[in-house]
Amino acid sequence: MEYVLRTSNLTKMFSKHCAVDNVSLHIKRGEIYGFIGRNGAGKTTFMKMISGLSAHTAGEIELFGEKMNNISKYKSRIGNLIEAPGIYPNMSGRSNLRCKSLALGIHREGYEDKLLEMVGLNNVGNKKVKNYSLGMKQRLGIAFALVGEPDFLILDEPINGLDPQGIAEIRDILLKLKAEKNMTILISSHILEELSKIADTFGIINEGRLIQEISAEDLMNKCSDYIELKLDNASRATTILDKLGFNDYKVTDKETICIYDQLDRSGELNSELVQNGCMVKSISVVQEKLEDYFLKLTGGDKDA
Amino acid sequence: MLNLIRMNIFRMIHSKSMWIILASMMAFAALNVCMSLNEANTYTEQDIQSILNQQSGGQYDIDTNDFNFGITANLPVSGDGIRVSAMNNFTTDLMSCVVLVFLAIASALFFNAETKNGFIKNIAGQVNDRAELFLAKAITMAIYTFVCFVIYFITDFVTLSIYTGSVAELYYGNLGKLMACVGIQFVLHVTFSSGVGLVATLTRSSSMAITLGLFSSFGMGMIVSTFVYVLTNINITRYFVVDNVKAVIFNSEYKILYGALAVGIIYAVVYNLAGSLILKKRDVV
Repeated sequence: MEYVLRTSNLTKMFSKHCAVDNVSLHIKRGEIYGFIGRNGAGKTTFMKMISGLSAHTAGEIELFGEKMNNISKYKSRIGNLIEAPGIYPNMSGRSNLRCKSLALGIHREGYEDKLLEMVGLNNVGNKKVKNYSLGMKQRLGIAFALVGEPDFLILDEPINGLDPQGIAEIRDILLKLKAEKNMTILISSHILEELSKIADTFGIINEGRLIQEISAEDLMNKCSDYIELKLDNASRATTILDKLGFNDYKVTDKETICIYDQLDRSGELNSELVQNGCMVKSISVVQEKLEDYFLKLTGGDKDA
Repeated sequence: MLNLIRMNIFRMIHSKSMWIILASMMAFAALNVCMSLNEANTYTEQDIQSILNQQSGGQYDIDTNDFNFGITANLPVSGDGIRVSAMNNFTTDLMSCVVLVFLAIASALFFNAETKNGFIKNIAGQVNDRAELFLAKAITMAIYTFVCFVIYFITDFVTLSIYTGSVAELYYGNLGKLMACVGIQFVLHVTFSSGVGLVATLTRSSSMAITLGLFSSFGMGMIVSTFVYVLTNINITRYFVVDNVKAVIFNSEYKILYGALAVGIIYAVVYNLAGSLILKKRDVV
């Protein structure tokens, strides 16, 4: 299997604080890799290290099958958008792109216009960037990352602050890049449901440690179905659940219980509850959200 | 490296602040000529002798020179008294650190711009050697310094011609020495710009770099060297870039010119090595 990126025990220390702790991550060629983690989990630090913006304290990075020390010829094959896009506000979007093209030695006529068109900014290319909306700036940031036709795109929270339409547009751009150019994309985001629509593989990082690397298919299987029970008094119903042999359940509020086992017994459960005087408002089998799975995995559900 | 220089020139051309600085410098140059010519009418023999002493001796001698904080621009004088010519006037203005003041502001803003707005993140990961990021900026600022020199000289020439009502004399004295003086001043100015760039890179603060640059242009180094002189009886003035700028003029002795050139080159190497090393080793944030 051909990997674009492989890290082995990658570690970054800031004096005594370990921001990235022994992360071994694998990204296959042509896939979209969703990088999930809470604020301060170490996503940006990790992305900076693999982008060559930050030095690692320990471990190894292998890009395009070469060790990080020998990748000078591959550097131009990586495009990145880390945190907010770095742009000159008093220059137009086109001039900003021209700056990066010049830095990479690209002197093609109309090159910047093509990039602007790709991210849907062709009508505002001459407008000063300081007058751009947040969404337009994010799109320009993606255009920056695309200068030089990279094979590997590293995008840190590219849909942050975008409206639903903007998010959908960025999603379409990324899917198009993957389909048409076989581009490998590493993308981090807080909007997990959005990420789940495009990513092939997920890496979940918490407190600097990669706690799970999982394919989208496996993740969807893990985001298991459960019975969501809404009734007048949840605490009274727990006695009946115990009697019926339901062991894996959680009382989420005074009217709701989530049951994770024996999903096929929902009918029997309903009738038992009614017979025992519990008023069932609704009973349905729903799928666990990616967000809930992530919170469960990172211990975030306990904080709530 | 050439690509980075091209990029820096492009962004310099598109930077409003660099044009504003250039325009302000031109206005200052014109004003300076007019004010100096007005004041020259009031010069006494003693004033002329004092200027002559300062011009020929530079500011190396702590014992005999008065210390002035700020910019003091005089018209050039020859043995015969005040003699106005564009090139000679230009060298006395360089000596007075007028151009240095504008360069301090331009360098701080230019060196720090891409760190401040985060543009550096777009390119730092893709260049082969991050040291080139600093060197390219230093070279671009050297080009800007050259442009400043040319424009300042042209402004001097035009203003003198307008003020006197006839085409101004281009130069007098030894042309070779005059050109050597301008060349050495160029090296010193470029070195100073790299020094300000180093401070901006190190502190990531334009205001800090501008403040330090302005203070040194105004003669802060003289305070330090006087202090060292009082304590140790050693004159370190000749080893400062700005004090060498204040020492080099069209009629300076060769000893002063060579010394200034050496100081300029040594500091340029040190500043650029240090700046490159910082950008190479430090994480881009």
